[in-house]
Amino acid sequence: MENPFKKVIEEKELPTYLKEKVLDDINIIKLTLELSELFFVNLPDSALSFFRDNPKENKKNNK
Amino acid sequence: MSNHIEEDLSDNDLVDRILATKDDRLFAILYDRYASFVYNQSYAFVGSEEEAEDLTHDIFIKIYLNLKTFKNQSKLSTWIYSVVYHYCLNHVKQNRRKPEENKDLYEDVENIGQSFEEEEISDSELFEINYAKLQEILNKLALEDKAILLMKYKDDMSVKDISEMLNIKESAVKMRLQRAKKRVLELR
Repeated sequence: MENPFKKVIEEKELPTYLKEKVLDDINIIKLTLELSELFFVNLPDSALSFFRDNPKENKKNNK
Repeated sequence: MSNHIEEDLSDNDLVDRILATKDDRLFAILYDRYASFVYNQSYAFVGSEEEAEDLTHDIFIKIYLNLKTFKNQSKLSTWIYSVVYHYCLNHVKQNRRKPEENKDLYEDVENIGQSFEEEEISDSELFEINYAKLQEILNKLALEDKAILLMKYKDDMSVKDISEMLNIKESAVKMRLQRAKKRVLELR
């Protein structure tokens, strides 16, 4: 017996322009995430390690 | 690695490489493999091409952002189906009023499995309905009923796959299927 569920929803063709839009938006997200990581993770880490690892600076701070 | 070789990667290897390199060319390969599937599943949920396009776009963004949560425990296709299902369900629930008539079907559905002793409805009873009538009936069903019937009978998913996808027990899947089939026969 034929399965009517196979026919209920016709296959639609996906518009080709959608791929470009998805990939463009993903690039924007990727860039935003990288910038956020740079400003909120990498730069503060570098600054902290600079002061922590700089003995002269530490001495000045102790005085 | 050439493009040709990348296109031959298995789904799991492709995901691993996307996560390791964050290369959007690799994500484009994943898009090519699943875009039509995501679009057609979204269309099955919302019945509008324009809305299905927006959903497809948003779902791929969600897939990109959540790819690291795919643990290779299931097939990528099952994981993507799960993302599509939950995203579309939330979208429709937020935008449309839920049919009141089906509200009672999901109340404590997992807890009453033991007492569910109705006679099983055979697939052949469902298959006797012609597709035009079936289409009409599916549009009247609660979205969860429609979705589970399409997973089982249109997409040939096993009870185990549906159970993994919906994160419910296999017995609960069987019961939901049974209830959905019963509802179809009532509306016949």
